[in-house]
Amino acid sequence: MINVTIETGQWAKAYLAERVMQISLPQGTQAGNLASVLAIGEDDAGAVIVNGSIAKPGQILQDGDKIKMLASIIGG
Amino acid sequence: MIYKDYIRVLNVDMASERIYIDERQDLMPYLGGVGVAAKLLEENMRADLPPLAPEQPIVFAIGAMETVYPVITKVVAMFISPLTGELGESYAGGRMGMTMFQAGFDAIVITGRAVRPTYLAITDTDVVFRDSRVFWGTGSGEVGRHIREYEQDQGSKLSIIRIGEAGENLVRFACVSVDRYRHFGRLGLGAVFGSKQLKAISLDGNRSMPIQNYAPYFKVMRELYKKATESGLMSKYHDLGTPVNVEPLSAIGALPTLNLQSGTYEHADKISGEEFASAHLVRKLACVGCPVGCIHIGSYRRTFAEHGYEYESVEVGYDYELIFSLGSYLGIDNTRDVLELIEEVEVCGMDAMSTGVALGWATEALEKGLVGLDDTLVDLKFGQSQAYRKAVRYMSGAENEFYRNLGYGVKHASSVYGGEDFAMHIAGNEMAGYHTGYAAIAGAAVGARHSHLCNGGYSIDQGLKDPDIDIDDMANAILEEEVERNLYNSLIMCLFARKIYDRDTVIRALSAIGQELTDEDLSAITKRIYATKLRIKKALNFDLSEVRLPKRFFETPSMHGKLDEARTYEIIERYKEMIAEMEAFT
Ligand code: SF4
Repeated sequence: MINVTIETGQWAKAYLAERVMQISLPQGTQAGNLASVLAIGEDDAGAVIVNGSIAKPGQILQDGDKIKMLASIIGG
Repeated sequence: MIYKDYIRVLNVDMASERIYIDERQDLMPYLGGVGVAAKLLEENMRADLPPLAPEQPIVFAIGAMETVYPVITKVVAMFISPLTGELGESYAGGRMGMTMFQAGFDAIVITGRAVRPTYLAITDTDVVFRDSRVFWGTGSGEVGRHIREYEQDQGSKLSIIRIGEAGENLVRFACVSVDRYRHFGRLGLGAVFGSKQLKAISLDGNRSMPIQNYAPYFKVMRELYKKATESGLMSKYHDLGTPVNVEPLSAIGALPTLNLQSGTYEHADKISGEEFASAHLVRKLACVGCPVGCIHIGSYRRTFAEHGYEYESVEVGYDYELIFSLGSYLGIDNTRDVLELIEEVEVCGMDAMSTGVALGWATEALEKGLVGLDDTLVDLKFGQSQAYRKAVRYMSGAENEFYRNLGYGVKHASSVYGGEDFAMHIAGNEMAGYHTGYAAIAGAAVGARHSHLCNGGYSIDQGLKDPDIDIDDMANAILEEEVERNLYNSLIMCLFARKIYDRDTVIRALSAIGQELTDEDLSAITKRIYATKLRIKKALNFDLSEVRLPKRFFETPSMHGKLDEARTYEIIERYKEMIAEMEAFT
């Protein structure tokens, strides 16, 4: 398991109790799969920022990563 | 057109102050909304005359399901755009759709120029041409309040649409304000009002349309209401609303910043949706018939006199497009200054996106010495909101030659002063707030009205795993969405709700109000409407091959990195080939 810090915004309140939380994830979890691992709706989760940089396709999360999950872009 | 086999059209001639009403069965194949409006525009426009000629029509239309289902709230306005010189199409919510419905008009066509400033008072029993010389020169909020007081006996649900100073001065991107917080924003409908000396329209009516068959109607209605209120599809629009986009767009490099010198804004967190909500949000409102309520109202305190402690509280509607264009685009790094700028633009009656983009260009033009302080009158610098507030007034008042030119849009202004490479428009319409990739740029270029909402190119970009998608596939994805949106816009739903109205639901919803249409019928309607728009554009001499995009789109990395200019033009050309035969569709 790895331990990471995840920060979201008010948009995620329906899914996560805290805006900043420390959680354990299985080794090999991809940044791109984080929304489904946390059961956040596909339509609601947007880009994932890992240690200040936007996650690349297929990027594997590492122990100690600081993650910011952003809302998906909404509009007409 | 609910339970009817005709479209009821109110025709108004401002010059002779005459009206007549048509009941048109031949318009039924256009369903309603944008379909009916496009056909009426095609019939009434004069391709041989300039956009602001008195003969040019303004067409309003409500949708085929207006008011009777949730989130079906909008009215379409179609006209010849004085900004782009071709198809003008704009949407607004508020109370206007409901009042047109209750006044008994599916569409309104206005032609001619009034002999004096006039406002139209339209009800189900009368159309009155009221002298509005006393209102000429007043801001859009003030005129709205006066008309409300005057027409009060007609009922409190009155809808009032009107222009501010910018429309009177024919600023090519002047808007029409609808009720308190909605607008026909883009493409200069306000200038068309001004050219007709039409200051305002008030609408009211008492007609009802009893549902004839409750069981099927309530079945669909309940289902839709549930989806709109419980499914989570719409809650994000209510919670933070579209301002939630500010931070994510900046993080992925797609937030137009400092006249698109960058797609990332270092102060995005200071003007984020969260920041607006925590510092200013006081109310959320809804258009009539919408259970969502996405209209976010922020409040700030301002001083109204220099002596003593004289303050007033100002309430301003805010959303993502306003925050991008009057925030990151101009380097404004705090929510209060953004709200103040929004309020200034609102009072003057201009489209916020075009205004912000015009000011961004003017700032750089001044910086680069293409224009001087004697032109701009204030020292325009990114981040300086007070100078921008003055510039907004100068633009709306057409203060001098420079501001008159700027009021024609950045395409025109840059053709006079130079700086075309950083004049951020697409086919004459100032850019929207999404530097996401090829689909956003090519989509707005090929879009019938050059808006990001024609085909949601920014949304296509976001869904792409591989930005180097095949050119045919990209052009095809844009075309499919462009055509399909004619269905949404003929009903006319708020586009935020498009995911709750799939084809099957639309067919059942229409059936429950007396319109029996099949899936094939709906497909044919979308093509028929699109074909009508293409014919209008052709008559107005629009040619996709002549679209030239500013270089900066290809210099500033987008969400998908730097975009290749040649590839963008290839997508546009491929699209042009795909639509070559479509205008003949009837
Ligand atoms: S979601 Fe917002 S814009 Fe759309 S109809 Fe509802 S209140 Fe109006």
